[in-house]
Amino acid sequence: MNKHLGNKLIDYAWDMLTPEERAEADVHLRDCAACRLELAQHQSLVNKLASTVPAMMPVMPPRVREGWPAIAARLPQLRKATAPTRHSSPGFIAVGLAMSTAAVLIVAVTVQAWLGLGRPPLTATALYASATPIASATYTPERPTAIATPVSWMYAPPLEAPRPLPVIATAKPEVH
Amino acid sequence: MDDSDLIRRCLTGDSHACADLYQRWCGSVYRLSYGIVRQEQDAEEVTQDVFVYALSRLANYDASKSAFRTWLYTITISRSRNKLRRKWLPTVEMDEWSESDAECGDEARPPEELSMLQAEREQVWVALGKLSPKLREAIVLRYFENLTYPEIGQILNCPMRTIQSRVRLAHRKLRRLLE
Repeated sequence: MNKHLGNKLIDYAWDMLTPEERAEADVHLRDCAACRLELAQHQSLVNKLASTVPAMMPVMPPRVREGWPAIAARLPQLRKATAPTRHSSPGFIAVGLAMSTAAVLIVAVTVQAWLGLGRPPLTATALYASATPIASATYTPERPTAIATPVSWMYAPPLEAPRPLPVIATAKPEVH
Repeated sequence: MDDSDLIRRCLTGDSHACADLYQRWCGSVYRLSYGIVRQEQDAEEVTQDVFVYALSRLANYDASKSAFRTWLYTITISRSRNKLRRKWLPTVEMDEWSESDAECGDEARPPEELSMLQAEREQVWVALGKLSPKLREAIVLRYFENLTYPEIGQILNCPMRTIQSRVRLAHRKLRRLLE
């Protein structure tokens, strides 16, 4: 009979032998009661572990099952990917606010211009196209400005007496 | 949808795919981690860290080198070791384990059988706690989702011979402790 299997019995019990090694061990075990007894002891421990260790693994708690949002919050690439969706509403609000403010300003300027000058209201296009010239043309120092002062008036240049035009010689001096 | 499809979508920044990948694997990661760190709260923290790390480095995962679960379990083992290292004195919380154990369908057994089973599990649990983390990892992985020795070697980044040697050492020590 060959010598006892020794450590190979643990490998046998843990199913760590190659098929060839296992076949050799089986041949030895057929004739060796001592090795069969030792193998039975090793297998008893392996079976005990097999029946208890998997049962020690707990059922997943709800905190883990529902833990994705906390993980997503720690992932910058996901925050970046979802950023345009989250910021789209504030963007629309900002544009809407800007447009309403502009509309209110245009209406206010138009109404003031119409009331103050007794002229039919100007269209917004006309105001935008020639804001300063119109304001300058209608500016009169005698008119009290505290009642209605359109924004563009405040920046209108003060009226000045026109400077005399420089005299340009048109005729060449005669050379004698 | 298989893992590779989900991973491809995750790499494009698809948060739904990331959530699906998490739901698919969080249970396994949690249980494996719990087998190593042996405390519910620690295992929860490790699970979260594992997914933050894995999803932020998903581009580094190479499907030709290993299965996704092998890669994920490698990260789990590494993070669990870090957690153990940070805790100077690991403690065993038997109450916590017993509570979770009761959820495994044992309530259908007769009371005396149940109490014997619990006593046996407590013995094994305490004995496993006396193993060094490296030996414990080998045993936990062996009984965890029926991983093969080559897979265990890949996860622990060790040759097969080292794994076999650890299993033998753990076996001898457990036998002494449980006799």
